[in-house]
Amino acid sequence: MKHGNKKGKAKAPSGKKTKPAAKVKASQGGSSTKKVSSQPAPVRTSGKNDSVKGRGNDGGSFNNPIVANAFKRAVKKYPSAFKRLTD
Amino acid sequence: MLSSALSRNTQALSSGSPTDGGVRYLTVQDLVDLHRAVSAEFGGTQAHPGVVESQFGLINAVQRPQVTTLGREAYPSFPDKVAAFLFALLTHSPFRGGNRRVALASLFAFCELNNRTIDTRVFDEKTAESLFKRAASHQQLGLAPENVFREIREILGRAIVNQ
Repeated sequence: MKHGNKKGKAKAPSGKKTKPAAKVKASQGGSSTKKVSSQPAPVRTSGKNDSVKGRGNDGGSFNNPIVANAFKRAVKKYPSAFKRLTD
Repeated sequence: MLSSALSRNTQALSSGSPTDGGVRYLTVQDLVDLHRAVSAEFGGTQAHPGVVESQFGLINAVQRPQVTTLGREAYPSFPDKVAAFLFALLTHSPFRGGNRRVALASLFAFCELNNRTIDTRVFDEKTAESLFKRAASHQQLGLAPENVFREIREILGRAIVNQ
């Protein structure tokens, strides 16, 4: 029983040791959150860039190049129809 | 049975391989790509690029030209297949907005996949616009679907030419 308690106690401190470490990390992260707050900004901008790329490079977003060419030709041949056809 | 057949057909369609008769069909991914492109080009700020409202409608439209009845193709000729595909796409309206534009773009894509093109003298902009609007809202207009389909089939039979 005593051994079991010792083991239990032995395990607990290890958990306690990890918790402070986590707290330390959290505190470090908290201190760096001001720095990190500048980091999400580039992530967001990269997301915007991705969407812009998807919209700008219509040919690049197609899996089938034949379909991409067909879309370009259709837009060239029927520009006003594409503008007028609204749902 | 039906679900397994659907999944099998969807897998076959996603590969984009030529099927019976050497006809190449558009895939679900092709239509989603076209919707993204159309929305980016003409959708404005309220566009929903690639948003599918009805998966059933989308798969139905993609598979419609491949339907067989009693071992025979329901739509044997190429204009039949294109008309069936367009009518299903316009009737189901699987995307959130831009369905008619996707239909117009996919008409060109379907033809180019099979080395065909559209004669713009026969199928001009006004014809395309009025035909697609009627097909998309034939129920509200009180038009019989078979008549609208026949009209699409007739015009496309004259407009689709070999490259």
